[in-house]
Amino acid sequence: MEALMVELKQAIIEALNLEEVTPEEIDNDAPLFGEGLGLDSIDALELIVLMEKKYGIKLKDAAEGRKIFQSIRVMADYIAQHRTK
Amino acid sequence: MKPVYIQAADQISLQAPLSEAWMKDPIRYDVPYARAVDPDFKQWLTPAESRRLGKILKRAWVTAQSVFRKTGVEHPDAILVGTGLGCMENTERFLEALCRDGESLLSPTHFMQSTHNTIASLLALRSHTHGYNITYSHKDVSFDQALLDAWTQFRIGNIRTALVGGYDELTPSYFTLLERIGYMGGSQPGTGSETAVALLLSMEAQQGLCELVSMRMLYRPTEQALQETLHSLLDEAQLTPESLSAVMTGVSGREAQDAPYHRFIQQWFPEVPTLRYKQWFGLSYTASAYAVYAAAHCLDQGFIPDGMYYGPTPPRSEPPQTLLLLNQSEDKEYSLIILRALCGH
Repeated sequence: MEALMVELKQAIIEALNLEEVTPEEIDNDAPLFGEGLGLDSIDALELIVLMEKKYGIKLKDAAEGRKIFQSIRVMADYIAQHRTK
Repeated sequence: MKPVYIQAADQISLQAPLSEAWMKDPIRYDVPYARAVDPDFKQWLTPAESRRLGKILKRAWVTAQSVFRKTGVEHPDAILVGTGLGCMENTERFLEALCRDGESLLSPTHFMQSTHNTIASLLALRSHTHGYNITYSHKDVSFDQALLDAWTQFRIGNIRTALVGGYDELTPSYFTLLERIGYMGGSQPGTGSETAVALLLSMEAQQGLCELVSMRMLYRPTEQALQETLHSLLDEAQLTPESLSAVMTGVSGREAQDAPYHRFIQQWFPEVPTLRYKQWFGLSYTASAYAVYAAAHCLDQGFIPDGMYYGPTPPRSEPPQTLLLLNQSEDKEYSLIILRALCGH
């Protein structure tokens, strides 16, 4: 799980162009939206694309995304359970 | 008719960004392709803007902010943008992803920033400007069309202030395509590059750079039409050909593209000094924006750098008062602009 969280942080940094953020600076349990990384609704769409492209997970319901994108740990848990690649 | 003034003009280009250092110390290029020199965006953009916006959008917003700061006009009545290629970098990313990953796995950011009118839209959103907003994409006369529209809107009394911009970015892959059709690159002179120019136009003259006296655009003009247009343009400005300080053309050293300029000068302005700017600002679809930018600063500063002169007619001894700017594309599209120095300059 640790390795997956590090990989996920790196993928998010690249997908969202977080040039000045390193994986170490992202707290596994901090909220991704609002506080924490301060992501917004467009970032949520980018994360949905990332989930499908990198892990083969299709999120069809925006509400589902809201729960999954709570934090890096919650995302990594979900990916570990549902990934197809 | 009330006069229209260029109150401020700023650029990001092959030269030092957001600066007129090129007037005394121009950076010279001897390469077929070079990207523009960016300023330190961190001084102008929030971290969120910095990571979200593509390069052309960053340049557009930074140059716009710069002219806003210089003039105190933060919400112009109109925003008019000319761009030949629009947000080319994100368009390429979007299309590459489309080919590689299919239609369902596309980045929304790249998609949103891949249309031509994203630039004018962004400028309106960031500056909270709710007025007239338009984008012209007409190859080499894109910027001229935007400026003509602004000038017309002033003349009919629709607006009192306007932000007019010329923006283009040139990716390595698109450079190879333009090289293939002989537009730039190859063995001929000129550096293929990018454009970012913002002008703040206003009906107020205070601290302005120059007056935008008049302009005309013509499509496939006959000799007679060109002659009549030149006469009416000069009449409107109360000028004769001989009284012009200089004619600034888009001459770049590329023979086929330059031929109509040489013919025009020989026929209509054989005794007037000629200026060029593309040797310093490069070639791009909206390079003519640099002509207006450079001419405005020459009139404001009261001198023309020696390196801008070409042709047999020697420079005038007095400071420049009036400049005619000529941009043409393939001998089909012609744009003629007259700028005049403000009193006391």
